[in-house]
Amino acid sequence: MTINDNIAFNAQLLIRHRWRTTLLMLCVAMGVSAVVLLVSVGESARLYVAREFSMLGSNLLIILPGKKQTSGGGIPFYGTTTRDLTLQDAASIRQLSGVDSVAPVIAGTANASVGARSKNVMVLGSTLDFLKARQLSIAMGASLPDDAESVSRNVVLIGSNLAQELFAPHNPLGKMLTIDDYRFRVAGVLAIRGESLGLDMRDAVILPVKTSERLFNSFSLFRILISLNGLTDEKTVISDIYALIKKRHQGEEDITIVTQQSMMQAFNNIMVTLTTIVGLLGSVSLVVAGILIMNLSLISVQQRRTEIGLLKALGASQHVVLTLFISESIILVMLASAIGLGFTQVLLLLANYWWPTLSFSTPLWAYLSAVCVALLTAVLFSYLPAKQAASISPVEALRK
Amino acid sequence: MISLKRVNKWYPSGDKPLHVLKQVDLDIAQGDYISIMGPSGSGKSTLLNMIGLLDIIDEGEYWLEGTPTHLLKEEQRAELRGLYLGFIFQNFQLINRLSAAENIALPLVLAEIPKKERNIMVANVLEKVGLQDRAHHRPGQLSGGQLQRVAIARAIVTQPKVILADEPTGNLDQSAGLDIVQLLESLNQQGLTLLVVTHDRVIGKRATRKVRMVDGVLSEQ
Repeated sequence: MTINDNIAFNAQLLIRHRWRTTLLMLCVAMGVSAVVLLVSVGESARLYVAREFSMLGSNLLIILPGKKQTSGGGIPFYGTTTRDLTLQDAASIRQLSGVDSVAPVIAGTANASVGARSKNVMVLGSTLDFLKARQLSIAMGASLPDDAESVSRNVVLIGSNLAQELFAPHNPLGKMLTIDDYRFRVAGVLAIRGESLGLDMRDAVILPVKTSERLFNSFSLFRILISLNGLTDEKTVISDIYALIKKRHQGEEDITIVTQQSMMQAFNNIMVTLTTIVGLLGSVSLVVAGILIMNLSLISVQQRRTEIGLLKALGASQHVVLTLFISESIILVMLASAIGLGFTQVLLLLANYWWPTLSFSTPLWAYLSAVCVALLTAVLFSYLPAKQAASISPVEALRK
Repeated sequence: MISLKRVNKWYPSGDKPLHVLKQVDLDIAQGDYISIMGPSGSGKSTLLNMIGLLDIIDEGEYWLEGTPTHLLKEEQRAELRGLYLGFIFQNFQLINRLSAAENIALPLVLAEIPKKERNIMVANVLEKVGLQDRAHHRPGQLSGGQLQRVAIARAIVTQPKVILADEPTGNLDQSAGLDIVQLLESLNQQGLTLLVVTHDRVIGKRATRKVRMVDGVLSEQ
């Protein structure tokens, strides 16, 4: 039987059993769609994180207090140490060759209020270099003062959301904001920027690092962000920093330095693993569809015994009958895959319309692998019924 | 063209296998018109299935056009079936979702005959069986006599050398049955070898050679 005749023969059969065909196609289409959509979500999240990291620049180092191994594991958010990182440590690091700028960060949460309006917010104490390192810009007003590391001034920068929630409809510039028991003058409002590496800057308050020492009654730094000037090798700078801190901390190397590359790599690995896992979970639905195909094919073989016997009497070999049954499933799965992929495209278009920042995109391999898994499932699960059909004795099948 | 030599066939049945064909010898020449008669369960249909290569013989030899079919594998026997043999069944065995023309074309589809050529061959046989105007009717829209004519058209469309008919008039009334027999006889007169298994003595007697099966033993009358 030629391929064209095979397709025509099976098409008649699929049309004849239109309800069975429709339900099976729906099942497979949903499976294909699930695989592509889940991979797309995972891949888009990975690209989003990569984009966020790339915005920080490739020459960024982050120093965390405490010693923690970073190779082969996730990103250490908190280390353990008996010695805190201080502004003095940050100032010494600034003297090293290869260092362009240093942004010490003290972080905490506090209650910000204006009159009757109040909100729990994240408060970051830092310097101008922090804004530079995090690619933050000022939408209106002034930035942090140049002497933020040495002089405690009661000025703050606030995020766009916070400005809206606490001051609307008035202009927040120059207005007073109470954070815990301290009063601050709003010097500037940050430009709208969504979440950056998990920190929602739209709801954040940034103030001079010296002021934050007083606010939180702590001299312990949460992070030090270091921008390199590119003139010295990154590894050399890192070892210089370790040596410097060891010297300053009485021989203890109690910090962890994370490079932007290693963080990106760690996140990338996690996201690729997650994407693969969700893709595999989506494939389970295809396996379920495959079991359904096998079940209905087995029923079909029983219902079409006489037809199979007749085909054999008319000269069909076992191979022809086997091919006929397997190709029926393949045709069905190919049509269902096309429907599933079309449906997925529509959903992705809608998702991109509703969440433009995530920019959903699906890699070609996701489409290909979803269709390949579907086809493989069709062949595997229809093989047993097809084999059964091929081995039917024509005499038995045609017996009156 | 067909030669059966000391053919035996057993079917499994409880402890002792059932011996359904016993030392059957039969030689059939091109153009023969043979009726096979006998009581139910005597082995008539089994013999027809053996000759039609639908079943395998357990002992003996079966030569078809010089080929020792008893030595062939299933794939080779399927090829020979499509090449030399045409089947007509009592209950027509047409596929309901296909039109008359599509049913007739089925052996040609399996033989991978190109569509253009196929259409011409189907039109020719439809004319031969007098169903030109029923080409696009489905089995459900045809009478018993017409259904058997479609089955005959399907059996002869590949221009086989032998037609094997198992009770071809069994499901038809007397008049339609006679029509079918006359159609088959006209094909035989054109050189086609005809083997008919029947219970109907009137039809059986019309054959030029009459054989009888009784308890698996074949005897020529």
